[in-house]
Amino acid sequence: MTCPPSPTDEDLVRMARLEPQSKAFALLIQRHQSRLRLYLRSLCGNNAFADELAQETLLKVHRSLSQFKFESSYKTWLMTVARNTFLDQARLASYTHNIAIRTPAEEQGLEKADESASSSENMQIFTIDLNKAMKSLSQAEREVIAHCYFADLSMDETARVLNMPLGTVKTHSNRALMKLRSELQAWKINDSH
Amino acid sequence: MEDNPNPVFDLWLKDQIALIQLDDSKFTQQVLNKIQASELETATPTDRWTNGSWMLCVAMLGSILAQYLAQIDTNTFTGPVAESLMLLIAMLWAAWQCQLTSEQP
Repeated sequence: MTCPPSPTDEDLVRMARLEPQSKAFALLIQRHQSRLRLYLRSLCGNNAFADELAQETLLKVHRSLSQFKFESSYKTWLMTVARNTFLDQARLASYTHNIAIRTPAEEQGLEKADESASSSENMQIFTIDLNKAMKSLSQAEREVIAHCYFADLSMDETARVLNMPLGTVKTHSNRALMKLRSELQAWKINDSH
Repeated sequence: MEDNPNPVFDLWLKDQIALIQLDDSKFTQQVLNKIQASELETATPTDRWTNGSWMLCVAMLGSILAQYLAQIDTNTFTGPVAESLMLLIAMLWAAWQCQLTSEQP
């Protein structure tokens, strides 16, 4: 006996449109919340703020489900709304990447938050190191990495969301990877053992 | 265009990031609660108007029904009996709709 295939994101969007009270939207939240929160955390560098933005993003997405035209994947659309929400808030609060540096208390908050999410102690330390490494990137590089690696979008999708030529995305990605590799060298060495 | 010069690191980084799981049922519930609260806020004025319209409808039907009932001869039971019955049914239905609207969350 074969299990029925799980509905695609686009199927769930259609279901949520037809029956707003159904569990379709809850499923969509469950599917993408981890990537969405990771993506926003990588953009703004503040976990609590990122989670607030994630909630606001999902509220906006729910309100505008009827406007989704199925021209891109649901995930690309979600991340586009998330980015716009972040940029709106950043403008509002004059919150830039350059000043979005965690205080020691927030850094501890990150450890606590991730403790509940991941049982691996190594993963908590890796998350902290990765966030530190992300700070070594320029704004454009950080955005490209946030989209390609944290949000798990393809280069093409990233180019579309950032409204950037594909070549520029690849260049930023390559430069960012070089920097990250250098910053995370110890991890790579540990990993190869 | 230069291809990815760090394919091994690229894959390793993707795997490591994929291992960071931030799935949290509380988060999902918080979002659903916010959606519900926001829907209530936006639905309230519309519901109020719908409810008011149904109440007005009941009042109008009641007024017409009273006029029809006054025309019925109670001794011979003649006059607009059928119309009165239909109006009564319509009025009960409108009253039911009014109640449904006011009970909506």
